[in-house]
Amino acid sequence: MRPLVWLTEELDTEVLILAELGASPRRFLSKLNKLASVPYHWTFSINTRVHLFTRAPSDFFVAIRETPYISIRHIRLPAQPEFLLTMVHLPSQMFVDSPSRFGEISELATEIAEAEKSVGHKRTLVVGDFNVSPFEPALVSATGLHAVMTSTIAEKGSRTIRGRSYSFFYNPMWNLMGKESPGPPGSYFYRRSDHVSYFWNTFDQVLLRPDLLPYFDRKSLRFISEIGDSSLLTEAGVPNSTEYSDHLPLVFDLRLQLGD
Amino acid sequence: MDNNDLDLWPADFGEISTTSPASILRKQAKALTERTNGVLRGDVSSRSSQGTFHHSLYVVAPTLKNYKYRLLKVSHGIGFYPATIDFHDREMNAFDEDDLIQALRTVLHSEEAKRVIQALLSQSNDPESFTEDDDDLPF
Repeated sequence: MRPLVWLTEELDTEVLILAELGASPRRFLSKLNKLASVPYHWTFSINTRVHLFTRAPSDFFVAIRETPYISIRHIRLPAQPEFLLTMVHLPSQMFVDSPSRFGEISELATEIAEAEKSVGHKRTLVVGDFNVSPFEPALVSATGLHAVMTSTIAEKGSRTIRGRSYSFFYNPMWNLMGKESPGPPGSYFYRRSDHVSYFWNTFDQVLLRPDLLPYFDRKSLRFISEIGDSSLLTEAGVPNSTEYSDHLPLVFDLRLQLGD
Repeated sequence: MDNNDLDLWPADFGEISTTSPASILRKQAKALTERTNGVLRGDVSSRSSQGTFHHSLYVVAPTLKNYKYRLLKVSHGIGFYPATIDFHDREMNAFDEDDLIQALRTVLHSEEAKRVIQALLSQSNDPESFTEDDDDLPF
């Protein structure tokens, strides 16, 4: 708990999203708030795979649609543009094959489309453990999340394929992959015994609709591999799952008041 | 020969003896609404993708700003069976209507389904009453 609190204090984290909490969110919140300088709140949710803790009152982060893998929040902060925050923790690659992962991503796209229809805008952000790489068809396909690697393409809004229109997401995670990227090569390390192994994976991602791009601080996006003097990596340079987590934290800023 | 009225279809399409999975789900949605006196509402949403029909059973909480939780999903091809039931982390197959009814009964009686309904009923009736289990923290 202390490294996590240190991280939230160091980064002045307004919103903390955690998967695989392994505890009841209320107990977690209680322990968090004993150590945090600014108290956090937790909002009602049926979903048990991903949890949101926020310094702002929980009334501003209401869950509107959920599945066992998805939690969509309608964020309405005072005097700031409202938006949809979709948190995901999709099924692991260890238990679900590629077609099924595509199916889950298609379900996610449908849930987002329904939520956008209900609130009447497309200021949507999707964040979490997708258990799918940015280059896999499930994320790139128009019938999946349609998440592309450049904001220039995403800013076109949508494209039409055989008479059907599909809205874009921008996936900035392409910038964080590989040895020459700032920070670690990915967020999760797994050495498969199969012929194809990527070793470093970028399953933890944030995707944005073009309408949210003006508020997104691109340079703030990074994986955290150190907290103060402590490394979240082992001596071999991979996430230290024994002491911390097998996934590295993903951090970014959304500046809802333009000009900040 | 005037072909304007040409109808090559058979006189009738035979008797439809099978209830569609969507219809079975809609009955469960209606039953939930009635059993909770409208505090919760069942809702079925259907879509098709690449030759597969997907029917999702949602639990809607009208007093929680129409919050929706997808409880389960049934998928099938152009024929109703075999159908696949996705529920929580489980996937079940139903090869006929009886199989589907049995699988849905199992799912709706499960502890996970009860947890969802209880939590939503509790939250709908009294926002302060929502409680969680006391697990051990990993940190």
